[in-house]
Amino acid sequence: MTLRGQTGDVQTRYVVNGGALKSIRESEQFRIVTGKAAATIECHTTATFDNFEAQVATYAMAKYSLTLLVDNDWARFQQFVREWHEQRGIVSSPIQMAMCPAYQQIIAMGKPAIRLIFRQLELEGDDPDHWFWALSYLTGVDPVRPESRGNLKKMRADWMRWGQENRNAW
Amino acid sequence: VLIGCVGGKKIGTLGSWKPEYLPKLTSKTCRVTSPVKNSYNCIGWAATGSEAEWWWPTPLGFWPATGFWPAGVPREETVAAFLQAFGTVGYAQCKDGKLEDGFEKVALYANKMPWGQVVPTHAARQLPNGKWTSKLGPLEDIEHKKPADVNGPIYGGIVHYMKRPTQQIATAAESKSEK
Repeated sequence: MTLRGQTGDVQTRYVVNGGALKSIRESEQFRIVTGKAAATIECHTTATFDNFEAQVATYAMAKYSLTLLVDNDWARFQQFVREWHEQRGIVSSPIQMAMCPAYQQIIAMGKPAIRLIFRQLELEGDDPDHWFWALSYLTGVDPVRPESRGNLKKMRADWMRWGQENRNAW
Repeated sequence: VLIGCVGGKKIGTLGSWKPEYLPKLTSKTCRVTSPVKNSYNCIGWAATGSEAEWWWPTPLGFWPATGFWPAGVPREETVAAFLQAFGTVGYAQCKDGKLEDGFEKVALYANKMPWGQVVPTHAARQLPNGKWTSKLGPLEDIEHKKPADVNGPIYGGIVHYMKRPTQQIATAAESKSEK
């Protein structure tokens, strides 16, 4: 997913994957954020696209501006990830890790969680986390080769390969 | 004061774990020897000194088999299966964790789960200097003075010691260890 935003004095324009923006609800609440160099005006809005809603935070500062688009599902997922890390603590058992309430809540997000987990795996790069149980549960498959078991990098590679070959399945 | 905090999150803490999980650890009994890393866990670290594998007997079938487990050893979370797994890399049970010339030792920990079963939770490996190295789940490696330093509500306590003739392999832990 590609999200781009542009803010100017007169208009705000948002583009997602080349179009399909349905509406933007401007918040009436503005906040002045005092930065090191200058004051920033923060404005929160809600943008509705074809298949999801996103919170938009617009920051305007002097001559420069920056628009951040936040995917609500992604934000919720990230909150669960933080809670999961807190809950699993120092345990080594992938079974106990998967039993943590936050991990179960990620699974309970259903099919939308699949793209979020793949995105998370991309971000984690060479040090992937234990997403394989959730992926297996959500997709109904286990593409990890027996020789990859226990090697998280190889398990990630097996899953990423499966993800690319089966994009229409998620 | 920042104490051995490599990849840790809170100033003044020993590492990124919650102190209540490991109540015996202090700046006098342990130091952090690695950043947080997901790729390996305590069992693989104790058994092989390698950062390559996450050892755990996730059962085949209902669970996706996400952990490495030696061939021929039951994939079950029992003390017997863990002793057998360490046996595949040359460890045999011994009576204590005292430093012995020509041997390296491992301590196996277990705890009673809420459903009543006693399951293995952790393993620590003795270093040539007599101290111990532990990988704390997905968090940091630490070096600690005594094996019981990591006893607590998560790992429970030591249930077995094992030893094997010292291997001629230089592990990351040993190279990181202070004499």
